[in-house]
Amino acid sequence: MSELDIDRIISYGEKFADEIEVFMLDYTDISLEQREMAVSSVFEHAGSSIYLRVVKDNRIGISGTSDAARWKDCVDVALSSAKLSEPVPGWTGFPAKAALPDGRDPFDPDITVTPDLAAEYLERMNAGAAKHPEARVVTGGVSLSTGTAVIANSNDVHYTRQISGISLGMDAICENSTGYDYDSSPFLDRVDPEKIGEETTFWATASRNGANVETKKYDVVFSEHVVASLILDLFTEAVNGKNVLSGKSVFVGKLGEDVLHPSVSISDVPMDPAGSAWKRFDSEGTVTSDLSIVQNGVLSAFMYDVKTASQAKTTSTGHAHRAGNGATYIHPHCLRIAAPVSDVMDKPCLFVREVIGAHTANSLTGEFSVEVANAFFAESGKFVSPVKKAMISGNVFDILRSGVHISAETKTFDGSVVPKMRIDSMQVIG
Amino acid sequence: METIRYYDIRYVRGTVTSIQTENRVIENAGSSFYGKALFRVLGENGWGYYCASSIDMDDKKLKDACIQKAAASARLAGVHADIADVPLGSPRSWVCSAKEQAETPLEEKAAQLLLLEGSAKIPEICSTSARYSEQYQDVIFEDCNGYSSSSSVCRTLFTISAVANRGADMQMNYEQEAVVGPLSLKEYLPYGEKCAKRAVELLDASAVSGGRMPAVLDPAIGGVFAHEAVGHASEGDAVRDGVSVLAGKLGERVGSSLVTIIDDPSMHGYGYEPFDAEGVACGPTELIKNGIMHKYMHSRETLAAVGLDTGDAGHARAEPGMQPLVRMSNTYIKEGDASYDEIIAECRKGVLLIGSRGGQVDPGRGAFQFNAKYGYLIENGETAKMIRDVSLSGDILSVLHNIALCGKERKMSSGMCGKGQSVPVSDGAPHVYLTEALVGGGGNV
Repeated sequence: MSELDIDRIISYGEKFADEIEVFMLDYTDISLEQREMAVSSVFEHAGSSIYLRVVKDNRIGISGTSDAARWKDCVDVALSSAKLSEPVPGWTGFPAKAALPDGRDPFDPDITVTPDLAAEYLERMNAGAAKHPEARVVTGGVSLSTGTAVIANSNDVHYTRQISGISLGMDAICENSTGYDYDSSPFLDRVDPEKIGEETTFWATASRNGANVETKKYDVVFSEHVVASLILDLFTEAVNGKNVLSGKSVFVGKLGEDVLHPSVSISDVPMDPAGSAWKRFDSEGTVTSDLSIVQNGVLSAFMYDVKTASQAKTTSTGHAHRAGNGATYIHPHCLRIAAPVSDVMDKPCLFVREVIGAHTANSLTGEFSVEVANAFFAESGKFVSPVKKAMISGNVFDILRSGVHISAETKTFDGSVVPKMRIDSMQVIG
Repeated sequence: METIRYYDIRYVRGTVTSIQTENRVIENAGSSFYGKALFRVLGENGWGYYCASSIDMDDKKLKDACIQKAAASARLAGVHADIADVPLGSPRSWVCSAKEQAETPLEEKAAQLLLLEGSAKIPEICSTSARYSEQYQDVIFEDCNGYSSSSSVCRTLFTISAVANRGADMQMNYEQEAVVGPLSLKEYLPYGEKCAKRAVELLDASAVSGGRMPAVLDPAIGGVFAHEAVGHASEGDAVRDGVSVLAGKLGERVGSSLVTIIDDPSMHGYGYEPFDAEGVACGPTELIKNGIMHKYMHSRETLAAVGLDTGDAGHARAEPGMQPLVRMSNTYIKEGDASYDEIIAECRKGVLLIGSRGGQVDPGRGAFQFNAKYGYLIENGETAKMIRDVSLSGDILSVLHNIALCGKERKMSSGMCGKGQSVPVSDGAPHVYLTEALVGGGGNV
């Protein structure tokens, strides 16, 4: 859809609504999947999605479609749904046009949506995987995408973001031991396909012949994967302004209070050079900026979009993302955690590379009880023996309150740049 | 011209309407529209796919162009694949009209949802929310052999959640119902109070200390066990790729003789499909029969690859515009003959796990984990103190042998299953007694 059409949608909506907003995504992608060390399928996709919001008498209506031709239906449905919604107290309106900060879009012109480029990265993953030949690569895949995201509203906001992406994944098996690795980035030179392949077959190979574990407390080191999927995911829920407003956060009413250990700080840095999703504006057009969420253990801010900020009588922190139904949801752009940095693997520990069931943790209270995968007893930074089977239990907020050490090296995920984390005395059930 | 051994087109279009309420205020309500067509071509050496956002199925020229794009992709593949000849069609199609529901004004549904949520406002409840969603989806399928079929299915669900607060302690509970066909919120008004009462009870529950112990699974978490521990490991792609501990076990004993586990896409549960994503007729597949590994679930490709006598096709499912994968639908453990009281008494000392907060499996390792909403200690053959934040993990091949009793009454629960794509499923079981299980928890009781 051309930009002229977006103006047409806004002009049409303005006849009936006080405000209208259009978020449009155009994309092209290709995926190569591998089995038996050869490409088994090739998937190409091109399309666009439109997400709409209208405001009438401070009531917000939403709609969305993957069929651009139905934009008029969407506007009409959004107008109808606005009548049903309650007025948003203190609604301040969609963002107005503002000067955007300097910075690049997460776009790499060298990413072309072509099978040749995808095949090249697949081959490089395979070359890395061959370094541990006892493991058998089961599947692998490479996806490439490019596109544009446009946010426009009746307050003269009209921002365009160019986006690109490469994602790679591989899994392998060695006897009854499995391993996998993945990575994604907007930039080709930030992924290392050989390393992904090597790590995949390493984890499968090294995790064989695991030993049983005695049930007791151990000092545990979480990999970057586990810190991201368990620690930061639950923390993110607790500082989501929507959850705070509705009473679904353990941090309700605790702004300015000590909530974590004084040595722990957590912030969101949308344009962090190490991040993977640079955002100068969020998906409703609010200009983004760094946000200190916990500073030296003290809770200093929650994340908001425009609607929740209006309800909380504050301003948006620029954390709106877009859901499929047209509504916004709140999520960080690039979380960074600061805590005492040390060689977390130097002292004896149980290293946990992955957990099974991170999503089953209690998102309100932070309690978790999950199965470990690719776990090892380690000494002086070396893996001594793999663990056959164990569960770990604890509470994410208690962990962050008790004080942790983190590694200097980090791994970048979509929404965070994450170190390893050492936790003293964690319950392990063997 | 590209070599085309087979092609099919699966066009999925629909509308999703949802209402979300929060603390007795309508947060948002609205509809979204989607339409995606997947063109799938089997070339000399593998598959090519092309997904178009929306198309006119009567536009032959456009369809031909899309097929050629998929064929060009297929030319790049290098792994030969065959597809088995299996019956197509929908021999047991279920007419699940939701005309009346569709005609009910959104305002009326919103008012009922607010009533349902309002009934959760009891003392010590600090927050409530509810969501209602109805999806009307049409599937049009046709293949290169002239076969075509279509279906219209409505799926409806609601969820209610409540947060209880006492001093610094907070606990949350949620309830959900999801069905194929219409769902009248009026009939579920008591769910609000039921949900809230459980959240308040959780404030007094204790966190369990983990360890190996006997366990009783209620139908909800027993269903997750069937899905996670057995279902995923019985999917034909995992078997073909050698990443399932159940691969190569057909005809072998893998569990207690009490264990029969079935997946049935034709069953009128949330995972119902009139025909699968390859146009194949759906029916029940007994995965484990009386403790013996009996059949795997297959797509046409995995059936051809693993062996025509190794299971049933008709288990391919896909999100709109995505490639078909071997997936579960409605999965359950068959009923036994024990009463609930007999099961609790037989357990004597252990835990009763109730409700599911989800689970995950690594079928290659044979390791699974799932989390219960809550549970009770079992002491002297009777339920005792309430417990929370309790999970269970295990090895598939060990735990199936530990099933010592299955109850007489089975219940199904609905949800979504993720395997790269998210599809609606249901799973269920009777109460199941495990003589030993690895129970996880960070508490002291």
